[in-house]
Amino acid sequence: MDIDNLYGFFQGTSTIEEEKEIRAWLESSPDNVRVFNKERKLFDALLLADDRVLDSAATPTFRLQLGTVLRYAAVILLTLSGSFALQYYLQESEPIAMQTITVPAGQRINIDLPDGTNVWLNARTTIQYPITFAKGNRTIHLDGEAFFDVKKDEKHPFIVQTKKYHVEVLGTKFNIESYSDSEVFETTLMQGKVSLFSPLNRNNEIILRPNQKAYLHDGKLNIDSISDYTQYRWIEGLICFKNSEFNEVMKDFEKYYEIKIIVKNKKVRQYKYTGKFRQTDGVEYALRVLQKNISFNFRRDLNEPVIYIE
Amino acid sequence: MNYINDLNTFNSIFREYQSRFLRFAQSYVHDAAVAEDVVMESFMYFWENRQQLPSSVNIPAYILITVKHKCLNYLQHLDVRATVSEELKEHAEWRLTTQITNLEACEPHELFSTEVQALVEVTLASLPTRTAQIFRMSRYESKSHKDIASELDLSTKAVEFHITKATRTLRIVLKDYLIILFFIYFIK
Repeated sequence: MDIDNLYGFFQGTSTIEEEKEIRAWLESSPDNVRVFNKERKLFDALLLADDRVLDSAATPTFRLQLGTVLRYAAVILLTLSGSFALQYYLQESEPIAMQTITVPAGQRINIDLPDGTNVWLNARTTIQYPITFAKGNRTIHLDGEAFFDVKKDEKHPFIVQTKKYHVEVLGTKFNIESYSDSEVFETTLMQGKVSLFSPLNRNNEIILRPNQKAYLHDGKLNIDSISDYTQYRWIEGLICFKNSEFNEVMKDFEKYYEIKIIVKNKKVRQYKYTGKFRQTDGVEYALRVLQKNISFNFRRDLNEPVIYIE
Repeated sequence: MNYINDLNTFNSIFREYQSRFLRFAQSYVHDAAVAEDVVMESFMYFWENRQQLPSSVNIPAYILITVKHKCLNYLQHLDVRATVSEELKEHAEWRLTTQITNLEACEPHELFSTEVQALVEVTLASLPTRTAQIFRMSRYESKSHKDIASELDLSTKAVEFHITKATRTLRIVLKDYLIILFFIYFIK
């Protein structure tokens, strides 16, 4: 295969016959695919170059010998400090396949990541991770709530990216809550050490010690120590609360069950509630249990996923 | 006053990069009108959001990323028309998938890094006059080998020879770049 034939393919000027030849060539070996991808990158880089330099080639005095060009190349290289160009040609640019898992409302699941890290995923949570962790960081993406038991590997920091903040860990147990449809962001550390930072500003990072919780309030991250772990019993399938206000309990239900709860009844707000429910029993069961001790009514909207407490 | 500075910066970036981004977009969407729209919209998007960007942002790379996403969006929504034969339709679908895969793998920050650009441009500047001229007509003015041959009063074979010479030179320069990179990587 004459590599310059690929140019016609990229430009869109090749005939169907030529394209079929290229396709057969690609399908005959993965090496050919690598060559194809590299040629595409070279082609793209050329397209993006400033073509005015070709005009300066007109004067013979400016014309450089190939040897000189290579010496320039070496100088340019030695002045770069770990930039993208290094990865550009070094790594094969095959995109890494990602695995996405989404947990439905009212459920939770437990999975193992390719490095042996164990993760509990709460209701309405989506996690995305590469099928294998390549060299460098172990980076995954989270939208929702998860409890991590991270396999210790000092050479490869484990990073959880959420829409609001990123959390970097070494080998620890911690809980993160960051649903993209909520303003809440909370990270609680049980064991080990984690660092939190905003993707926009790596310099402002916060380090958490065990039994500390970081949470977002008024646009800033605050830290609290905690001793009560009942809210993390979701990994056992339970929704627990201790001395919580009625609205907080309803907010928890909204989180688990993908439903909006509108509390019109004012009397329920004055009491504090302690108790636990099985996630799988569902929201109406939970509300009916609550009704045994507190007087309120509830009804579901016929068209929208909304419950009214009256 | 800030607005005037912004406008001047924007204008010079537009002048400098518009045709390059047009070439890039065209090579993926294969439709001049779409490429034109994509590039214009991308520049406007940058202008409208310029205040939200961190001051360290690489502006051309940022605009190129927007161009990439808009092209991807276009390609992903393209419906391959039902053609006379099932075989032709299947081929057209394979073609489209290949374009999309290539575009998804494209990394504007890498491609557009100063190092890669410098190397490419230094190499292009080093080409002999005739070769440079022919290469420009082929790659940057999109002329066919036949047209170039008749315009310069050469044979098509001669035209192909010059083009191959240019691409071979580029591959040599970048190949050695790869070896030197490898060396530095090991030292690190």
